[in-house]
Amino acid sequence: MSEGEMAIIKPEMMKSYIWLETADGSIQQVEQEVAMFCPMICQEVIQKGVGSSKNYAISLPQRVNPAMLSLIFDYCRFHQVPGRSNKERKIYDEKFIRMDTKRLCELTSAADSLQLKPLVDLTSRALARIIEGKTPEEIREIFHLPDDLTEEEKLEPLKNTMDDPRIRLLNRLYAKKRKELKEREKLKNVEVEEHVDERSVDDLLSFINGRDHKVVKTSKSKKKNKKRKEQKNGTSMGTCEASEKDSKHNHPSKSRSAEVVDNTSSSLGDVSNLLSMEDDIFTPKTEFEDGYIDDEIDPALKEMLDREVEDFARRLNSSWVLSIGQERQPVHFSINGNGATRRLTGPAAGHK
Amino acid sequence: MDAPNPKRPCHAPPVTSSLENPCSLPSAQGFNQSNIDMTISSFLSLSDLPLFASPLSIGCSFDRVLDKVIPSAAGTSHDEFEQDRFLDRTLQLASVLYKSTERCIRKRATLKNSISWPLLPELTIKVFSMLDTKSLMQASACCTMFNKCAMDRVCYSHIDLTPAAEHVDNGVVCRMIHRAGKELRSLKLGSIYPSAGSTSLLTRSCLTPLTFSQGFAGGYLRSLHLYHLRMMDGESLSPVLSACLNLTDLKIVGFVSGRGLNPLEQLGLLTRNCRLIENLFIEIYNSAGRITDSSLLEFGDNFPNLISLSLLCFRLNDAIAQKLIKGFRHLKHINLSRSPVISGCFLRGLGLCCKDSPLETLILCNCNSLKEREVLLFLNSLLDGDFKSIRLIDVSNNQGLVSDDEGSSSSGPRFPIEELKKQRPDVTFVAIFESQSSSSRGGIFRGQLFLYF
Repeated sequence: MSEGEMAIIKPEMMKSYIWLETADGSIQQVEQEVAMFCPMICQEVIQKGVGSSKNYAISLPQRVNPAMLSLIFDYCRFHQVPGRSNKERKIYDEKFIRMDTKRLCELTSAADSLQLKPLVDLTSRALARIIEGKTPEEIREIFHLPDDLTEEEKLEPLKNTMDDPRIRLLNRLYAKKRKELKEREKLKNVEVEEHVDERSVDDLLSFINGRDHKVVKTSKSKKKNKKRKEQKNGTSMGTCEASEKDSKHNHPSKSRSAEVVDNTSSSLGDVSNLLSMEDDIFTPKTEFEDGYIDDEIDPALKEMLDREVEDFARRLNSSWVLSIGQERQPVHFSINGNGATRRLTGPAAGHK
Repeated sequence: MDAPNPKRPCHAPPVTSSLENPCSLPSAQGFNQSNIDMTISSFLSLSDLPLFASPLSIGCSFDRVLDKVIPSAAGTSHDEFEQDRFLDRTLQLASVLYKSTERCIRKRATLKNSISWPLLPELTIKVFSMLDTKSLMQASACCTMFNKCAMDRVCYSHIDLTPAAEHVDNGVVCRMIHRAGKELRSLKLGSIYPSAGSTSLLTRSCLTPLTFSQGFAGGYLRSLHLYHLRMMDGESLSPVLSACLNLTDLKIVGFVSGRGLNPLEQLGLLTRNCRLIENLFIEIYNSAGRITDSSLLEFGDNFPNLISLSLLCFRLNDAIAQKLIKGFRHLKHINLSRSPVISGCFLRGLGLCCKDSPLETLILCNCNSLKEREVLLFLNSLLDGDFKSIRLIDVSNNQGLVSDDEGSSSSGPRFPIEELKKQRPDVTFVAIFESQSSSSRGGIFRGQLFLYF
């Protein structure tokens, strides 16, 4: 069609369409403005140039099925019109999310895979409103969830499954190290520290390593390891300046523990569990119950973990920890060299 | 029939149960795991037979085997002992089997749930982060998947433990703060409406987790609301507030100032590290303690960014009130309710120097010495154009305002409402004087409700 011909034809005919293919193979076409409201589709069209014809349809992620797609496009069709007032949009939204919970969940999932943030927020809030104020039985009924918690787990929703005895012991270790460091500073005994650093971190790492395997099996080993740790604690000693060095311990032990934990067999855990470990690390005394988690880190989560740790280290204002973090070698105690030399030149040099 | 030896398998026909107790493995010689597993699985696959009624049923088989234990005529006491042990062990076995089956059912349910649940964990966590703390706890008790998602730190960004005040103890507070980690933003603790008999499980050190590791958690906290925590005095609050450097919103209902101590001074000391505070709300129990000028200066210096100030039940006099309002340059909302000695003459002084004051809200509820005349003068100054930003004035009082003429039963305070409406239509003036029985004070407007908009 030439431009001239198109001018005579009605405006509706001039709309361009985008072709989309859902995971189950069915192909739909949607008006361009509507489809471009979704960031993910927008990206595909612009970057890869697909979607212009039936043969080159954009393939949508798995979580989007045709029913959800049409719902989403209804939403987009309404909201992409710029002339609507906020109140109008709100009223439309309220009516839009009135559907049964299963569809709401599917819609949230589909919207998320299409990166349609406003719709994700809207549906999430709707789901949150559904959950609010209900008892667990009611929630289970609504979402058809199985009742797979033991009785005691139900009674203890505040049980901190991140309470690892090794973390508590680690905490005590750090606390002790900090104390001894202060003493050492007074004595100004640097060379001994260099040496001591290596050993102490080593101890830590092998301690974690040892713990992982044993804790999984019996509880008796907890006591054994406690004794072992206390002994090591007695010999090896303190190292860092104040809080900066906490991160130093934290970081190498983290990078090591990530690898170490890889080796342990365990049930699934979130990265968040381990990440909060770095926070838990700093509690000197806590009243956690006995218990342990089994963490498994796959490489993707390890990446996140590294980023978190780096962020944490940055927060503690230690640039040399970052540089070490990039190496990520378990027994690379060049840390000590750097750390020691920095300390020699004075506290100011130790800061970023 | 001999009572079967618990350490060796029953020599009974294969139809009946022949279980070895897996727990007694160490003591039994010559049995390995696979034998036992095979025996157990052959037992469990016996469920093909009908369970009840017919003589071939498993129930009858059980009966037959166990009946062998019942002593016939003469049994020695040793035999009885053995029989008791056997029966006890059988019960144990039954219970172990039961628990094991339950565990298996749970595992299967978890697996099925993780496959069928449509939302990704991040999305579930996002939904949970929009829940209040109580709903979050309820959700976490639903299934293992919810339980795990509810552990994410983002869900604990705004911790509100006031609904369940009587069940909250230090451990709960500690765990929640830990779970929040870097995402901690606001914390509400205590009981908003304390019932007379209930005692809190919290102790003085309930907020010390905020101070751990050089105030790691405290540094992230933006808003802290404490309701009627009688046990928290200045000494216990001091380390906590020193750790909360980034606090912008502090509310303490039921601040325990020591007897005779200057509450403002105490407050100044407590909050000297929290220089970012924008909203400060303090209500004390008893308004004893004189307030001096020097403590006022310090107090004023502490909060350069203060936008909203509420000091309830403080024994402030007019001079101090005036200095307070003048001292905070960005102050928009002030609430000095229930101050027993404020008469309102500080309002006069304000008008002179605060033509451009950003003050938007002035609340003087239940100030029992507040004079009607002062309010009148203030309203007149509004009509003259002072206080351009003011939007809400509230002088409600249960006992009415103090009027000049004693014992007059005038029809009501003579506030220039109509002019106010005309000239300053954006101002809301609230003056609710509910009728109170008795009182020989002058100027009580009985049975009259005045509400102006």
